Amino acid sequence: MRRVDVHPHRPSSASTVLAITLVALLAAGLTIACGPAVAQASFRGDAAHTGVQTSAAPRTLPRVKWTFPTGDRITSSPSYANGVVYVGSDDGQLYAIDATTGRQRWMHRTGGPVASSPAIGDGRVYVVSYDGRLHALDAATGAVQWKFATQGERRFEAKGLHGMQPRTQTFADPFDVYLSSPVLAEGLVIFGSGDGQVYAVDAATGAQRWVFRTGDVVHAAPAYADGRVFVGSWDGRFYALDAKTGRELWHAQGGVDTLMANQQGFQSSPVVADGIVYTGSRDANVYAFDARSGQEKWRFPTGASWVITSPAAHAGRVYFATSDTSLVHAVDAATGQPVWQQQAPAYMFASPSLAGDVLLQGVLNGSLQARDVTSGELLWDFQTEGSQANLGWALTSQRKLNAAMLFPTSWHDAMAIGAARQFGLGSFLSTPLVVDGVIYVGGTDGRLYALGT
Amino acid sequence: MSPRSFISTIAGSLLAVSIGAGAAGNPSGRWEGEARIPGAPQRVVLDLAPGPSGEWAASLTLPGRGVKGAPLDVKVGADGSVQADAASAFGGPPGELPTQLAVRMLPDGRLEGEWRQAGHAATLAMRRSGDAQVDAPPARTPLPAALAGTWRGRYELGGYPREVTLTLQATNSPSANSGELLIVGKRRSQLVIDRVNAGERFVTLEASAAGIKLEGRWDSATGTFDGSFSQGPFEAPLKLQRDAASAGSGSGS
Repeated sequence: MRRVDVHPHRPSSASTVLAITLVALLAAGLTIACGPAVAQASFRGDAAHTGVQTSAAPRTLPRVKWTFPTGDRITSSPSYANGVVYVGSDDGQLYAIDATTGRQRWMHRTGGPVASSPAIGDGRVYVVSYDGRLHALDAATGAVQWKFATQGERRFEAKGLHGMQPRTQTFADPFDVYLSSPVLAEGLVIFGSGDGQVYAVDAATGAQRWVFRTGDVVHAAPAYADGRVFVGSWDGRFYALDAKTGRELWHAQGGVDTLMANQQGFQSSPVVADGIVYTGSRDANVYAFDARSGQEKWRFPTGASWVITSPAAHAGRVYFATSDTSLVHAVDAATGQPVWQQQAPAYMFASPSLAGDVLLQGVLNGSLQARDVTSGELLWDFQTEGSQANLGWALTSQRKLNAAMLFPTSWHDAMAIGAARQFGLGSFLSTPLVVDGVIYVGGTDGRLYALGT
Repeated sequence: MSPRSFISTIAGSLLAVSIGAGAAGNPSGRWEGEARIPGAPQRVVLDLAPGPSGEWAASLTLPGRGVKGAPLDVKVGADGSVQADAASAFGGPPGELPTQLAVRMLPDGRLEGEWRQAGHAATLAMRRSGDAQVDAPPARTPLPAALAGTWRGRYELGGYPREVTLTLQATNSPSANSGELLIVGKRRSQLVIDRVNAGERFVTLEASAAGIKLEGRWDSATGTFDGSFSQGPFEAPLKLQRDAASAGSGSGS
């Protein structure tokens, strides 16, 4: 067991930014090729959550090939198998959509928003819904194979959360937007739940194999590598579990915010690469732990900014994005030293996807941005209709979030209402999937977009 | 083509609906637009396709309202005008005032008219964005003979036990009533099971009039059902055991 002490948060200094820029310039010309092909059959593509896509993304602004409308916002990230894109919607349904035509193959109604990302294996698709169930469906027809009930879903909550008033009132977190996405490993479906537990169930039958209790909501997606499961909880701890038994192997302690529960919790899903597990945290750090021992290799402080995005890892670099500082970072995977950082217009919750020499990043202002992997320079910026319409001036003229209009007070439900207005922009909470050069990504405008040249 | 996803191929061949082709008078296709509700514009997606016998099928999607592919009772005029009752899209009991859309085709091929709800009317304008993708109603199956019989069990909700007797009979048609659900708790409720979706090991039974759903795994050999009772937000674990003598008894139409 390893305890991680939390350092005070420090904003980036101008000199740091200069140094980062110099490093980025020195690194110019470095090309990261597409990694080994991985099945895009679960959140982040594979069980280790590398975020590496099987196909390169266009370097020029793509056109909309088709859109698929659903009845509510899409926070789920699409998965792909055999010509079909699978995605959940907050309208309560899981959709199977023909990747070429955008036509619906089937849909399955659950009892609540499907804010997790589907995993596909052995002809089945698995997804978690706010009805508190893991649903296993026939991937070809959508027929129910089995369902597994947890003790029920809920969002993270705390008294006076994020400074909301009155301070003695308990508020549910409007930014706890994702459900845990299942990972398939060793014949098991492994996922977290709002009931604070991590479950492993038999993939074929839905029978429970093991359960591990944490101290609070688990909405991060577990990652798997070499017989180990890695996942963080809103209790502020990051866990490594034995995949066969669910036994705890080690845990690390992240930050705890007793004042307003703002700077705590692991909402980010981890990535495992080369024996190191990387994860972001709401405590404003990205951590790198030795996957076997749990020893902290390095941490990257973001200056009080949440890291909800799940890092992507490839070719010796780790990529992630932040909320308040709205920065996209590339750091050295071994040392955590910055390689480059680039300013985005608004908060980012969606995770970066590496597609050839392009990094794709969804932004809460309704932009999907493409950056050069080597330099971080912006290649193109796709905007949803909602973002362009900018109802109620939710964005400034610079397309940043307009806090004065979105969050005018901290009383009662103002933050939840502001978050809903923000998502009305057609924000990208969904992480892009790239298959055969086509980008698939969901928007909070309820559309699944297929973008290609 | 999956039985759960009825996408009208007939419509595709009939409508000559290349996007923007105009085809004045023929409203087949997917239509997307906006109801200009003051301060809260509502996106509307309407799928409209003629069936093989000339009747029209339509479904409605309202992004942000949780409505996807809700079936519409639609009338299409010879002039391409479209009127539909959309109240069922919102669920719950019907309101006193209608929820409707009424549009007509303009010479440039767009649909324009009104979205009516709660006594208000907002301008609705839509353009054709592609082929129709009319959603089929949720899949239903006949009740298999292996499930027929009398099943008994109990669940507890709100601190009170409820005794359940489920009497099922095999059917040949997915639309036939499949049996009766008797719940005895504080009061006695006798309900018709009118929706079934049965797989080899998993079954969903609904008494739609009461919004009650029984769902779970079943095993004909042991005569057991292990699942849940749900009604709206309320849910409880439910185990049922079939009366041995009743297994496979009864058959319906």
